[in-house]
This record gives sequence, structure tokens and C-alpha cells, in this order.
Amino acid sequence: MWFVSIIRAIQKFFIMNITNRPVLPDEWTMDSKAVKLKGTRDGFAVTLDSNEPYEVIEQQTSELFVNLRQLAHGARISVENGEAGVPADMLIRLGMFLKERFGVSDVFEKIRVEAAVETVTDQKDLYEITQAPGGMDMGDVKVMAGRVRSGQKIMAESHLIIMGDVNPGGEVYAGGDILVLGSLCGTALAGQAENKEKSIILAFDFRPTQVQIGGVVAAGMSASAGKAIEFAFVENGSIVVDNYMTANPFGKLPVLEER
Amino acid sequence: MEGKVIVITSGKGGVGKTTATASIGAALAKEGKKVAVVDMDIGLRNLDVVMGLENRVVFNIVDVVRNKCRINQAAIRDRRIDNLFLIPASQSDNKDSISPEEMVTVCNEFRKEFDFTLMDCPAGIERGFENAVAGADEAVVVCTPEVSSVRDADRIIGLLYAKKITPKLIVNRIIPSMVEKGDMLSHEDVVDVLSVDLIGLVEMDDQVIVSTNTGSPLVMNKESKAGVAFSRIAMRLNGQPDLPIDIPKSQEGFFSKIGRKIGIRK
Repeated sequence: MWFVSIIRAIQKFFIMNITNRPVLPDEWTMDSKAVKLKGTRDGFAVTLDSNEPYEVIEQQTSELFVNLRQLAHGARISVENGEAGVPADMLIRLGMFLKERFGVSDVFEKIRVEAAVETVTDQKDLYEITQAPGGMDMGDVKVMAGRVRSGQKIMAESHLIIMGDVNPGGEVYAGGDILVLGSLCGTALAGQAENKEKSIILAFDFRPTQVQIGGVVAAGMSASAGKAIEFAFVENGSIVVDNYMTANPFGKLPVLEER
Repeated sequence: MEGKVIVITSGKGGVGKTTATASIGAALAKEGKKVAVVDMDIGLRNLDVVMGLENRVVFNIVDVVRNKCRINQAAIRDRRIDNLFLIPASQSDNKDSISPEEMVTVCNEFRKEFDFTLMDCPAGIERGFENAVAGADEAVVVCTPEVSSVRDADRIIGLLYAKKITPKLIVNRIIPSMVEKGDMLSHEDVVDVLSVDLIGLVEMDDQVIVSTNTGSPLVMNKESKAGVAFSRIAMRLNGQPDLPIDIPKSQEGFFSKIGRKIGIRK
């Protein structure tokens, strides 16, 4: 990181002496929105206000692109600036900066041909990026890989997927469904906190010591022979275990629904 | 070169940690290494009895930690094997007398003095375990083919991984005839659940009781199957990790084998 700070320092020195532009403080607060970022069908669209100095635009673009993370890599970026058009030097500098820092594939100016018509037709494909992808609602599924050993307790607010095994004495606890891609020999509690009795517990090798779904408890289940993919669900106030492949409980749903 | 500190632990009591510590220690010492076996079961001292050295105990590990004596003052030389030293536990203190931080410092001292330092961990996962594990480089988990032992070993393995130690497994007290009949968990079942590297399989052996009663090292007895198994574990710890692991087999007679094949015997 030291060379970055040296480059920054040289940059600041250069800007101060040659161009007499205002120098950015180290902690820049984004009170004036000089840059807007939109996702489109073909890539990303950057709308900027060329009245702002280039440093401000670069800073704000950078902040937005940091949030995109790997999505920016290899993306095509169109830049526009209202009626006036993007100044050529600004486009080149911004293009070089984005290619170097975020690995975008191409930066070009969007030519505004009948902009009004285009916005109407493309409305559905546009979405405003207001938040980092990590902060987006991804369904809150917790995926863990490995082995849950005796005495360990894995908790998830919503659904929980264990890629591995749950040993005897291990505990998995979830607000929604529990899927164990391996053997389940410990305790599994699904649909907790809110008593969601529509939750299921599924395992490739279903041999739990105890399962709970919502408020329903089933203990002392006898293990079935063979390694069938089985799942537990609540039916008429008690827990039923069935073969997942033959019962195919969700294959019968008329439409896709979110869990 | 600095030595290694290896903790021998199990979670459950009575699975053979102390026997394993004494035997592996003796076997490593027989190979010419300078070995210390440290009884970490403070308050319940017994490694000295197993090694037949109880009448020579003067200082103990708590004295070493408190700087009342140096390590080589507390170390008791074994009667038979010159390179083997015992650092006994204190009988009058309890496990809260020393802290894991102090043990880290002491373990660094042990590394300078000895090629191998084996820590005999007490049962349980409380302070005694914390103390024994604090300064260790490696861990050996002893487990018997019983569900209770496997459960506890699993917990211990989880705790060791949390401390960035990758344990190795000894399955102790295997009774081959029962395994073959399906009345006992096989070592495969145990490894299946615990999923750690196996370092040895030790058969149930009456010689263990004889050796602990007389205080003579098990590995000196060439007849003892358990002794041989512990010697091989020691070799694996001592730079021969690829030494094949012998799977205990029952010595059934020719006729009973035929009987089993044709279904007369179980």
C-alpha cells in the first residue's frame, strides 16, 4: 500500500502546482452526487456532472465501483453527461482509471439518440444501484462447508445449508429450512424463533438424534436402512420423515415460490 | 533444533491416555530421543504410578511453572530407559493453580530441553485441558471404539481445530473378535465419524494391566501387541509418518474359519 500513498502524494502535489484545482481531503464525504451509476442490459451506465472537477468525479466513481466488486470486472461502461456531452480528456482519464483499477473492458461515451424514447422502452431493464451487492437481499441463506462436531452449534437466521456432515452431539439451528448435504446424525432444529412449521429438514443420510420443526419435537427416531435422501416435515402436528425423491414435495407446487 | 510438544488427550476418561503417554514416551526414548512425559492431571497424579516412579517424586509441574525449580530438577529419570524423564503432577494443588499462558512459557522451556515432550492431558474440556493444550504443537486423540468415547473425542477434535491444532487419532482397546462379529465399532466407523488422520490402532491387551501394575514400560515387552502398536505409533511420530498401520485381527483357528464360512458359527 505504501506506493499507492506515494502516488497519491505525487498526484496531489502535481494537481496543486500545475492545475491549481482543489485537492481532495483524505476523507471525502459524498454530499454532492456528481456521479450516478446504473446497471443496464449491456453493462453499466455512468452519468456524471462535468461541472465538477475530475478528482471529485474519479473519487465518487471509485466509491461506487468498489461496491460493485467483481461485477465491474470485464464490464462495458457507458458514460454520459446530460446535454453537454463528456469532455474528451475526462473520458480518457476516467477510462484509464477504471480499466486499471477495476479491470473494466471498455469505457465509451453513450451517444444520446432520442434519449427520451430509449428511457421509456428500457425502463424495465434498468435498476438503480443503491447498495453493494453484498448488502442486497440474497435470501439470507447460510451455507457452511465442513463437519459439525459434537458440542458445536451452527445457527442461521433463515435457511441453513451444511455441505458436510453433522456428527452425533452437533447441533444445527435455523429460522427456516435445514439442508444437510451429507449425513445428519446430530440434532436439527428448523423453523425456530417464529414457529415456522412449514420448514423442512433434509439430509442425504438422515439419522438425527432429534429433530424439531417449529414447536414440534421428534426424538428417538429409528434410522431407516440404506442411504436414501430423506426429509422431515410437519403433518397434522407431528413430524413425518419421508423419502425426498419419491415424495418430491416441492415438485407438485404449481408455481415457483420463494421460501 | 527445537523439540516438539505433543498433547495426548481424549475428552473421556479411562480410554488409555496415561498408558499411551507412558508407552509412546518410552518407545520414543528407546529410539534415542530425549523425551519428557508431563502429567498435566494436577490433583489426580497417576502417571508416576504407571511408570513406577512414585517414590522419587520431589518437585512437580506446578513448581516448574512457579519457578520454584528448574525443569531438570523436577524431571525424574526412568529406571530402565535413560532418555526418558517424567515431570509429575502436583497432588495437592488443583487445575486452576496454573494458567494456559504460564504453560506456553513452560512449553518453550521444554522445547529447548527435550526432543519430545508428551503432555498427558486430564479428562474433560475445562482448565486442565486448556493448560495441557496451550503450548502444544501437535495433538494425539485417544479414543476407544465406544459411542461415548467417540462423542467426546469428536468434541475434543472440534476444540483442537479451534486452537489451530490438527489432531491425529489412536483407536485404543480394539477387540478384533468382537469387531468381526459386528458387536463393536470398527476403526473405520470411528474414523468415519471423526474424520481425522489415523496414527495407530491398538488392540485390547492384558499385558497393559501387568505393565502398569509393575511399573515397567509396555514397549519393552516384545510379546505385547499393544506395546508393539505403541512402538509403531512412536515411529510414526518420529519422522516415519508413512509406516503402515496394522489392523488388529483375531487369531481364530482354521476350523472356526471354515465354520464361519459355511455358516455353522457366527
